[in-house]
Amino acid sequence: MSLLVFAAVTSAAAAAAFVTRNWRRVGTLVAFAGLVLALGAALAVEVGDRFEAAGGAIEATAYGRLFVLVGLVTAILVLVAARLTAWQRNGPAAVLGGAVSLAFGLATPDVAIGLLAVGGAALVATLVALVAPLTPWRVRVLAREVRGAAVSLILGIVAVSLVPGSEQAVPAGRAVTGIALVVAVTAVGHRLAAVPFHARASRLAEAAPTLGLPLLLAWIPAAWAIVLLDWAGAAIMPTGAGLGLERGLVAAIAATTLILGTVAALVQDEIEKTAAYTVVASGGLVVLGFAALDGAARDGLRAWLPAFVAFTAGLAGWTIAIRGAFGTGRVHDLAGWIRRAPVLAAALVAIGVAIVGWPGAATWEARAAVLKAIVDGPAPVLAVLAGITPVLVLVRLVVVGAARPGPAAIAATGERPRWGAAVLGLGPGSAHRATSPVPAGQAIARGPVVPDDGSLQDSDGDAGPPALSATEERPGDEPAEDPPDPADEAAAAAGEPAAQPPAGVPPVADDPADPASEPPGGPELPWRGRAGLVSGAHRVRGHRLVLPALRPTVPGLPPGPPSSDGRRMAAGHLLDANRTPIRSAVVFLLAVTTLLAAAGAFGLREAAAEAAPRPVAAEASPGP
Amino acid sequence: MTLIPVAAAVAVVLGAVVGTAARSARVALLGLAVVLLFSPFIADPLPDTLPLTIRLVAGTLAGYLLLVTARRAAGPVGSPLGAAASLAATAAAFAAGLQPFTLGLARLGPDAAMAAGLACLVVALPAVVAARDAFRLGTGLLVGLSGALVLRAALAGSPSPAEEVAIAFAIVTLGGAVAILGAAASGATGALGLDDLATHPGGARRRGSPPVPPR
Repeated sequence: MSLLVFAAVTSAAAAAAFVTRNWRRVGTLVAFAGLVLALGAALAVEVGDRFEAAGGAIEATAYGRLFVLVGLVTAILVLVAARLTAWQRNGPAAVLGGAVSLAFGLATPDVAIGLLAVGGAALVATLVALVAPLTPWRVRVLAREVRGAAVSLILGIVAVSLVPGSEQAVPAGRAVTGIALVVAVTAVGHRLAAVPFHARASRLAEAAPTLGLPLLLAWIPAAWAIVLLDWAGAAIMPTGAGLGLERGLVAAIAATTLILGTVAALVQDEIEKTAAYTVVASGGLVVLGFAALDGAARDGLRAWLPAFVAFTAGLAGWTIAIRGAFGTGRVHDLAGWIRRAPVLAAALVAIGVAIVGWPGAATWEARAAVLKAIVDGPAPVLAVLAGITPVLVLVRLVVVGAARPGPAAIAATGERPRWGAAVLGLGPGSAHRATSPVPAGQAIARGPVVPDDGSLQDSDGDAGPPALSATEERPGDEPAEDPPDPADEAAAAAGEPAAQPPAGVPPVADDPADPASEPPGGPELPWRGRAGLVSGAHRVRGHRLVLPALRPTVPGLPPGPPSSDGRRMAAGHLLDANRTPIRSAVVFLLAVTTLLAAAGAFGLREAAAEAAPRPVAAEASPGP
Repeated sequence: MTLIPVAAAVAVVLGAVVGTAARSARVALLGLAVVLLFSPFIADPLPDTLPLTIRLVAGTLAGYLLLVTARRAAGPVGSPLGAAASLAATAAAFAAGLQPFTLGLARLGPDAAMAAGLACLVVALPAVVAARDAFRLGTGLLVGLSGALVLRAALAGSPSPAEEVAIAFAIVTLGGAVAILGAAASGATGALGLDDLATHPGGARRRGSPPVPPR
C-alpha cells in the first residue's frame, strides 16, 4: 500500500507542477513542495510491501526504493541550482511524472509489465520536458523522441517475447536467443544513446532543459537497463555460452560507444553537449554488461546504475552552475574559470572521482566485474583504463579552467559570498560606481544598459544599444527573476544620478585578487542585482555606461520608490547577492551525493545483489 | 484453431494495411481503430471480461486522441511503399506466421496471433521509418505496438489481467503522445508535417554561435 501512496502523492505533485509551470513563483513553490513530498513518500515505502490486483502483484524492493530516492534527491539539487539561474518550467513535472512509472516498473516482477511502465515513463517525461515552448526544432526533437521511445518499447516487447524466460515457456533455440539478445541491446542502446544512436544525446542537449537531461539520458534509460538485465539474467544467461558471435557484436558496440562517446565529448564546444556525450560514453558500460551475461557483472551493474544517475545529475548541475556564473556555455570562452569558481572545480573533480571510482567502490567493482567477465586479464588495470575514457573530458575542462582567465572569467562575479555587504545595507539598492574592464561584446548583463547622458549610442554613433550581448539562456529557460521595474529604467534613462554608498562603509572590490577588476583609486563595489544587472558604471567601447539601480527597501537605508520590484527585492536581496556561491554550494552537495552513490553507500550494493533474480543456471558463461 | 482469434487476426491485419496505407486520414484512422479494438481478441484463451473491457476502452480512447490529430492532417499521403506493396508484404508475413515452425519458435498462443503480429510489424515498419507527418507516425507506432503485443500473445501466451492493464496504459500514453505531438507540430508550423520542421534552430549556424532557438 505504501507504494500506492507514493504513486498517488507523486502523480498529484506532477499534475500540480505541470499546471502551475507557467507561473514562476507559484510553480517553483509547487515544484519544490511536490518533489519534497515525493521524496518523503519514497522514504516511507516499506520494503517488501506487496500489493496484488488483477492477477498481478507489485512489491517494493530495497533496490527500487534506493533507485528512486537517488533520482529524486539529485533532481531536487539540480532543480535548486537551475532555479538560481533560470526557471526551467517543464523539468519538475517531467521528473515527477517519470518517477511514478519508474517506481511501478521496478516493483513488478513481470518483465513485460516493467517494460510497458518504463516505456510509459519515457513517453511522459519526453512530452512534458519538450512540449513547450513550441519551436520547429523542439517539435522535431519531440517527434524523434516519441518515435524512439515507442520503437524501443516495441523492440523490448519483441525481445522478451522471443525468449520469455518463464518456467512455462519452452526453451528457445540458440539462434532465437541470439536475436533476442541483439534486439534487447538495440532497445536499451537507443535509450542510452549508445553508438550509433548517439545523435539523440546531442539533440536532447540542445532542445531539452538541462534539468531534464539526467532524467532523459540516465534515469529512465537506467530503468530500461535494469528491467532488461533482469530478463537477460533469467532468459539469456542459461544459454549464453553459445552466443559468442552475438555477444561479440554487443561488446563491439559497447567498446565503440566508450571510445567514440569520449571523442565526441572532447570535440564538443558546448558544455551541455560535452556532459551529454560523457554520459553516452559511460553508458557503454551498461551495453557491455549485456555482453558479459554474468551474474556478478549484472549485480555490479545494478549497483552502478544509481551512481550513473547521480553523476549524470552532477554533470547537469555543474553545467547549469557554470552557465549561470559565467554567462556562457562555450568551453573556449571559459578559460580560467577555476580561479573564479574553485568550489565548482572541486565538484567537477568529485564527479570525476565518482565516475572512475576506487578499489572497493561500487563503480569500480562493477566495472571490474563486467570486464572480468568479458576478457581475461588483470581486471583492476582494465577497470582503470575503461574508467579513464570519460574522465578525459573532465580533465579537458579542468585544463581549460586552469588556463589564463579569459573575458568571461574576468567579468564573472566569482564565488565569494557577499553576506557581509548585504547585511550592512550595501544591497542592490545602493548603486555604486565601479569600472569593470569589460571588453566590447562581452556578455555582462541582461537588461537595459544606458550611458551617462541617457542616449543609447555606440562608439560608431549609431543609434541603438551598445554591443553588449544578453546573458545566454538555454532553450526553454526563462529568466530567474522579473525584469527591472520600468520606473527605475525611466529614472536611469533620464540621467538621474545613482545613489552613493553610505559613509563609513568601505567599498569592496569584485575580486581583490584580480588586479584587473580593481578600478583606479581603490576598489569599489559592483552589485549583481535582480535580472542579472550589475549596477554601477562600466566603460565599454569608449563609453561610460551606467546600469540602473533598482532601489529596494534595505534596512538601514532610506526606502526607495514604492515599486513592486523594490518591495520584492527587500526580501530577496541576500539571495541575489549570493546566487553564484549558493549555486556552487548546491552543486558541490550534488557532487558529494554522487560520491556516496559511487561508493555504494546506504546499502546500495547489498540491495542490488539481494533484489536481483537468480538465473536459472548459476554458472558464469565464458566470454565471447 | 478457434474461430475468434483467426477472425480477429484477419480483421487486425486488414486494419493495419488500411491504417498505414490509406491516403485519407479518416480512413486510416478507421483502420487503426480496427487494429486497436480487435487485437485483444487474438488470444487463446480470451482475456477475462474486465481486462478486455479495459483494453477496448483504451483502444477507443487512443483512437479518439488520434481523431483530434487526423482533423489537422493535410491532403492524402498514403504509405511510403504504396498500397499494393504494403498489401503484398503483409500477406507474405501473415502466411509465414501461419507456419507452425516459423523461426523455430515454440508457441504458447495461437498461430493466428503469430501471423497477425508479424504482419502488423512488417506493415508498420515503413510507416514509422518514413513518416511524413505526426498522424502517420502515430498510426505506424500504434500498429507496431499492437503487432508486438499480438506477437507476445503468440509466443508467451495470453497476457495476464495485470499485463492487460499495463498494455492499456501504454496504448493510451502513446495515443496521447501522438496527439500532443500533432498539436505541437500544428502550433509550431501550422501543419502536421515533420518534413517542414527546421533541421536546426536558426538553420545553418556559423561555428561558435549559440544554438539557442527563439523562445
